[in-house]
Amino acid sequence: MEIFALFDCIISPACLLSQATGGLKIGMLLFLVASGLTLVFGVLGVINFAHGALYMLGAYFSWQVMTLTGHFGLSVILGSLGVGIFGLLFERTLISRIYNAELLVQILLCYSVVLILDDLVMIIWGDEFLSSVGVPEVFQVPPLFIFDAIIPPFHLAIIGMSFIVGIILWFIMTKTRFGRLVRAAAVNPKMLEALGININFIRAGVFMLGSFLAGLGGALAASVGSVVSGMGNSIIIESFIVTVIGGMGSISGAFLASLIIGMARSFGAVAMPLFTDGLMFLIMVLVLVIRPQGLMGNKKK
Amino acid sequence: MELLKVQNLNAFYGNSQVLFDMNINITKNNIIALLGRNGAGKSSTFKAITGLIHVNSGSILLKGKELIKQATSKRALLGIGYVPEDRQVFPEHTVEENLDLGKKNSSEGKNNWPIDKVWDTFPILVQLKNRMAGQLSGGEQQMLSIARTLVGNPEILLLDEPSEGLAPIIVEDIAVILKNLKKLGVTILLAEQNMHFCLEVAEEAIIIDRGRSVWNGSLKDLQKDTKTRDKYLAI
Repeated sequence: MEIFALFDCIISPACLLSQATGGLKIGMLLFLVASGLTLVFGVLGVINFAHGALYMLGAYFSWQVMTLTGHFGLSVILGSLGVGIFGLLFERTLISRIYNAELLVQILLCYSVVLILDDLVMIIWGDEFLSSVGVPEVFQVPPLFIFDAIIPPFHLAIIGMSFIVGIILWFIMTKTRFGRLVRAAAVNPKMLEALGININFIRAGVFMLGSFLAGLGGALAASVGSVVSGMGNSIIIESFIVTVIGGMGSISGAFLASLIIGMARSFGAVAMPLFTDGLMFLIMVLVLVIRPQGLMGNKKK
Repeated sequence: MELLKVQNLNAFYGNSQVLFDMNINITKNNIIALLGRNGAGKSSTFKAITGLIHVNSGSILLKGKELIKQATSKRALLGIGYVPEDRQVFPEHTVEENLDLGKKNSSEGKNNWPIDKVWDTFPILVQLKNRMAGQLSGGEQQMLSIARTLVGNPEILLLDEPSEGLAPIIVEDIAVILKNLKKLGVTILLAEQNMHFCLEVAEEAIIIDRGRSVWNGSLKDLQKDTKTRDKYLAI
């Protein structure tokens, strides 16, 4: 372990700032995906193993729109909306049939969908890495130098965009009627039905929103990395870790945990480059031992 | 014509039958007490009417409309207003938000419960508006639960043991509110074990025993009829 390297980094403004920005970027992208996962679990009670595959679809969709139109903004919007609509169909045709099924059945169904989608995208787009959509022109400028730290403006844009999405999500959940309904459905769906609310609309809406968030994460990821079948498999594991650390079903918990994981990955790469994945799991293990319900999770009822 | 007509209703909890050929007739603008011992089937009757438990056969007519095949939410939209025994307020929503969740127009598209009327009828809720429902006392939660169902403009209120677990002084507050609701023309089917509470607010009663309706008539008659009371209500 290179503990001195970490110390050197922390006392150097350049290293500190660039690692912190990198951590923020990783964390905020992760938050987009994990918030969708935790939202779906909190309201529908389904652990959506196919969430990573939706992320992958977002990347492919936006790559396709970018290739056709060359418009970055359009590719992100249409890519994530496309995944939202795909999620709606997925929920109505398959997920809605397994709400009362055993956990194993739910996981098997979702996992099957992952394998099917992984193959489908290979049939449609080929089995080779597609090069990244690329940074939009406005951001094709020299990086910023702040305290000698090299900071690509596009990374700041990704952080900013994700942050805004987080705020919009918070606003929807706390200030709108849809958000109130969603929170109520997570606590007591039967009572909500007895008050005249069709719970199927809420479930479909939540799944669509969750899919949209996964798609948005994928669409943004396609602009900084390559696109390939199976690319959702690592993000789903990280999203699960975030969900467990933050507390299953808690969006604010997912935010906090995403930042922790982002920073752990970024600074972990300096301090213990061979143990960055291990570090993530270590944090999860510690949280599970000390606070099993997660940082912001409710105690089991 | 009856507002609510339940005929030969047979309902199940899983595999065990809880209602046997249940019959209930309710006319408008009235409070009817649904009496019976603990476990007689009062809550099951309500859950069968709201669609929360499985009904095997029979008929539930609300204003002549058959509800038996409708989903729970659809029944609520048609006018079934259910206030569950354990209140089931949403604990992490404020009082105002709880009311908002229950808000809907009547099946005829009318709103007889603008928010000002709610505050007038349940004055205790005014100062609790922004409080989380989970922090309210049992009596306050009961008021909120009733108000939350009323703002959905139901045709009939199925009120399950509102006095349960509350201090006598709070039960008195609830009785006052129910009498006010009666004056406002709200139809209530009131499940209770507390006969004194019923005498205060209702005139008619239905007795159910082991999942069957066994007696109906005026509460005053029932008060004199010790034989029926001993048979079906004495513990």
